[in-house]
Amino acid sequence: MRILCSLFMLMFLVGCVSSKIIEDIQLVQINGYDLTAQEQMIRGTISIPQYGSSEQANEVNNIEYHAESQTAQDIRTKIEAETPYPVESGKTLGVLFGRGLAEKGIGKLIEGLSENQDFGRNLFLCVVDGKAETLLTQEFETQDTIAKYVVDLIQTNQEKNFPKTNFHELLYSFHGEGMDFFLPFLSHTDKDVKVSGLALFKEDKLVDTIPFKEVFIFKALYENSDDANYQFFWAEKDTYLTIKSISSNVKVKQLKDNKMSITINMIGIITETLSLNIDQLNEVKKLERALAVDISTKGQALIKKLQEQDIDPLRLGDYARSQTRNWDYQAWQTSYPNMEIKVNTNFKISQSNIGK
Amino acid sequence: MRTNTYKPDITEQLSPFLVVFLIHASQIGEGILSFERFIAEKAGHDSWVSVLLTGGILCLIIYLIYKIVLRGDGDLIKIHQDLFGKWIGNVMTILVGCYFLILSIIVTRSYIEVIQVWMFPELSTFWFSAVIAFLFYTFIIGGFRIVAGLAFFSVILSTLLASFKYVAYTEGYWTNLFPMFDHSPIEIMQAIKPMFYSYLGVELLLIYLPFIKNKKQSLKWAILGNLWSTLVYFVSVIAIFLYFNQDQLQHIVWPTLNLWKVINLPFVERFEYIGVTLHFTVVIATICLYLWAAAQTFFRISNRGYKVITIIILVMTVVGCNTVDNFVLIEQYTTQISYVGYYLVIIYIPFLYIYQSIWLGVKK
Amino acid sequence: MFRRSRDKLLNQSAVDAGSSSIDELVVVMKQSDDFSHFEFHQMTISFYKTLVDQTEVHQGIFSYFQNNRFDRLEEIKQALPIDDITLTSDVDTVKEKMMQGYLLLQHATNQQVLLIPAKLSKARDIAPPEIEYSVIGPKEAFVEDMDININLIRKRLPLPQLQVKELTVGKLTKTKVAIIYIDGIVNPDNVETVTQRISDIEFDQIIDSSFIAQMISDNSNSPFPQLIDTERPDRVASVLSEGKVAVICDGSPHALTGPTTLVEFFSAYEDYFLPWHIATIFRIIRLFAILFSVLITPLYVAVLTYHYQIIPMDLLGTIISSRRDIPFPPILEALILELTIELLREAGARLPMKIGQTIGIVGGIVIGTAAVEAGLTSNVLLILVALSALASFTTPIYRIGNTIRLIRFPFIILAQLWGLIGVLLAFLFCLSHLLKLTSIGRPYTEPFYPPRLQDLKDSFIRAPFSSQTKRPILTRTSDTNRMNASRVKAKQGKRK
Repeated sequence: MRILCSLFMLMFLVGCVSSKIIEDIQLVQINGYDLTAQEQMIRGTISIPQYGSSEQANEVNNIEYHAESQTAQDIRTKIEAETPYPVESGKTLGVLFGRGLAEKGIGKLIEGLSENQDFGRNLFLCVVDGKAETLLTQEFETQDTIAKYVVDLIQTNQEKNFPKTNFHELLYSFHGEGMDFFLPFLSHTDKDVKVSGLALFKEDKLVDTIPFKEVFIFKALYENSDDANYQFFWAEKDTYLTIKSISSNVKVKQLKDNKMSITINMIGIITETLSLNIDQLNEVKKLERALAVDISTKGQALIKKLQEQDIDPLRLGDYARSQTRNWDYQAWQTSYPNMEIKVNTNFKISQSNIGK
Repeated sequence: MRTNTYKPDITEQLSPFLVVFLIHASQIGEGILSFERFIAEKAGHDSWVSVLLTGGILCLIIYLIYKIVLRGDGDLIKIHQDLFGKWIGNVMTILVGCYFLILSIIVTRSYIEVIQVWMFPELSTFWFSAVIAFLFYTFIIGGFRIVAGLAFFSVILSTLLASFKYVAYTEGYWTNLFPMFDHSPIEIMQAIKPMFYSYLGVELLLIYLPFIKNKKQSLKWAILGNLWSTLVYFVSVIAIFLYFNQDQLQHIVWPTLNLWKVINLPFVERFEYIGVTLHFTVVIATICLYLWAAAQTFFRISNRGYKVITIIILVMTVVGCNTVDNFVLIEQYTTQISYVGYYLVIIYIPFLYIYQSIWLGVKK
Repeated sequence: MFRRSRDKLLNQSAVDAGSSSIDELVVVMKQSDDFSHFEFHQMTISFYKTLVDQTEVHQGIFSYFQNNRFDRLEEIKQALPIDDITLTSDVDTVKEKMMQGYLLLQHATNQQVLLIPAKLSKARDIAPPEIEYSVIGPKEAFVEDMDININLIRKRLPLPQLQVKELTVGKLTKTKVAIIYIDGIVNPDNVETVTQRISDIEFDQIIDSSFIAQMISDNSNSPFPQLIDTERPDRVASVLSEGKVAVICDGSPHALTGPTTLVEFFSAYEDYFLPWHIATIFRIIRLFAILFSVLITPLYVAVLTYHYQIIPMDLLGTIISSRRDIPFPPILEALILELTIELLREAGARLPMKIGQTIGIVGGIVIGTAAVEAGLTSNVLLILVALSALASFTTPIYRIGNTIRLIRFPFIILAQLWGLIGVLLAFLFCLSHLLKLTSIGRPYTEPFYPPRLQDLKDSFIRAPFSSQTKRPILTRTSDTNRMNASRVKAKQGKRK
């Protein structure tokens, strides 16, 4: 027993692992990476929230630290030289890439993030129009920290018109054959941050962006959704209509001879239609048809654009793989830009609103 | 209480249906965290077929083990002595005992590795292995009943943990499983070999079957336990294949832990920390069963006390854990010992069965 | 050292060595001032004034002697209308009986002596149970007198099969201990084990039944109690009919029952008075309370020291803010607060009831708020520790509550060492101990391990009485059926 006790004491002295007591570490909430002016190095910015003591618990400030280096790990080491406490990234919410860096390629950074077990897989990665650093150092009119502001912004949008993105989805497309990844594209003014569209990548380089109003079409082609909104110009009646709570369902079909068809089934509620009087059945049918045609043509155009860039964020290649025995990735890559892809849409208006 | 015979005391015997838990606990261990990567290397997204096939093969092996033990009326030690004579028999028993010991050392070391990678990079291997060796001691010294108790509780945990793979079913992509049977039967057969490591554990039946009351009746429970493991592996492999695509999977060492990373419960974020911790119980149960089997084997063929042998074995475990200090070596050793287990189960046990049949025929 | 000298004393003293004759014994006894010794006609009467009922002696016995003349002791024995009069010449019997409050009658012409019982027994009235109080159900509790206690049990089980075996243990205290069981239901092995263990007790003083509990437990070094001690006669009657054995000790208001399991410590007897679903929910709440009580402080230490990643984002700000000004690491903070709570509890238990209540107020409100304001502890931990203390008081059996408060500390220390893995290791050490533990040779973790479905019906759930047709497997009863299922009839007068 005495031996056991002394062993136990010894274990305490030797066996202890270094602690990360919660108030003695600095928790990174958001990382930003930019290209330096000389385009040689990466400039990293981290934002660390400062919590007040118990009396003013709500008072939250950010402190930003910067460092420049070739690798993300070295940036971290350099930053730690500036901070009073060790920097921990286990609670990172998001990573921002400046546009310049994204165009040059972010593959190495992504691999670095994916190797580090400290990062969760619910991380949000975004591309910033301009520099990530300016966004992170900007003072915005918000109660929360900048990280929480940006993350909440993306998260709320994902429940609506925005396709689902997180670190896992990125890695899925990044490593997988027959798909390319995309990220939310942020822009900001002095007062606020705005989701301004999607940034499309080829391999690991930014090649194109989709403006916000087309994101709805992208989402409809990319995945099922249940609460999207869409504004539609009805040429026949020369008026703008908004359809809300659109739940859509997308089905891809591979046809023979280098052809594919995408069918979207949508159900939505129209709003602001009191003046239009569409309570006759044929009026409703007319509207449904007009909507379907509109979405189909826009979808078709979007896919054309993607094919021209030779990128596949819609994961059509992966779908083709799942339908073809002994799928040949090389053959797919050569055939994809010239493939004939048709979009069919069925739209159904489920009900109007409570007004009459 | 612990007599040196192959017929344990009635107070040490267990009811037959506990074999379900023993089989399940000895099969599910450290392998479930990473087996998907190894089998997908061979047969890609069709390797779930190999999971089922391996489960089927093992049902057969379990039947053979039961036949061997029931006909030999004793554990492996007695059967070896009967079949090969005292000297050669004991040498073979020692080899099997060494296999049990080495396997448990490797499993211990590789789980320490998991803890070091996922939780505490600076965890001291020596101190940690010393403390868990003491924990093993408290279980093993209590005899088979206590080790089986741990196995029983670990099964509840491992089933609970397996249920946390539900995220993959809600967020994964079913297209990943198609086109089905895109790989040739040979590729699918090749995936059986890496899969075997996760299914090892049935060979322990050779040692602990005499501790079960009503052995004949327990066969159906043993098969059921194996089918349960098959189900758990099947659910896991499907979950991982839905959630990760094949190219991504090859970049991930422990797919299950990566999957748990996205689970955010309202009171706990980052479920992998909870997962690594709770899964440790499951691994400890497996190791305890193997270490108990090693202790029992050496105890039966030597004249030393059970306690002394247990202590020697645990000291060897600690030493073994500390000599392997490189993750490449750990993976290499894991592969090698899994091959030993593979050949033991798939070649040696049928051989033993046939040899025993001939021997019994000659004796008549 | 102390014990050795006392042993020597025992071996040499007259107490143990005994006197060779009755006269010598009387001489020894006379040295005590409460010993009465006088001659009356031809007889010598001696007794302890403090042990006999003086009214009974004067009115019932002496008046007889005054009115009648006896020449022989046998005549007295026949004439006196008192039960249990002994005629003997054995010194040891005389000594024993006199210490129980018998009168010693010596006759000049007779070698033998007569012992007449005139025992003075004072016991307090039967009071409602204090520790295992229940709102519904019977409100009587055991008292310090063994006969009354056995009477309380017998009234509830009017059976000739209810057997009471009496033993005397304790070299100095000569405590009477009764082993109670129902013949025909109980497994004889259990009775034999208990009897043998009690009669093997080698100790000078047995003051209370808890002395016996500590000495006859399977593992005396375990912090877990292996016998239930209860003050409720209804509980004892109930477990007796489940085939368990009860031990009652003279001078103790607690009966011991066994064999028992860990879950039985978390079942209040009131659960049986409530509808089964409500009782089940209460039991589950209680089990959660226990888990919470043991684990929450260690988890706090583990998570705050090592695993900040698992704290939800929205909670993070609150916790960091509350910890910001605390000068201690979480482990010290937790230990200080846990010890403070233990201090409060201990002070409350030692003080008289009325002051004890104020201690709670002082501790809870003044120290608590002051400690937070002074920045010594965080209010998050204060809430957790207070809750876990509260949760540890939900245990119906007082003894297991002590255990739960104690085993928290190794958990906290291992949590500091290796975070969540440390908590798990502590839990597994605890599990290995529990698995090895037995209560009168029966597994302590039953019905979970070994898993027994039938016993699960009355563990963390309480199934309706109609489904509990069999007695628990744990006790391996001779008669397993609780009721004759074939005689169960449909309820009369129920509207369709």
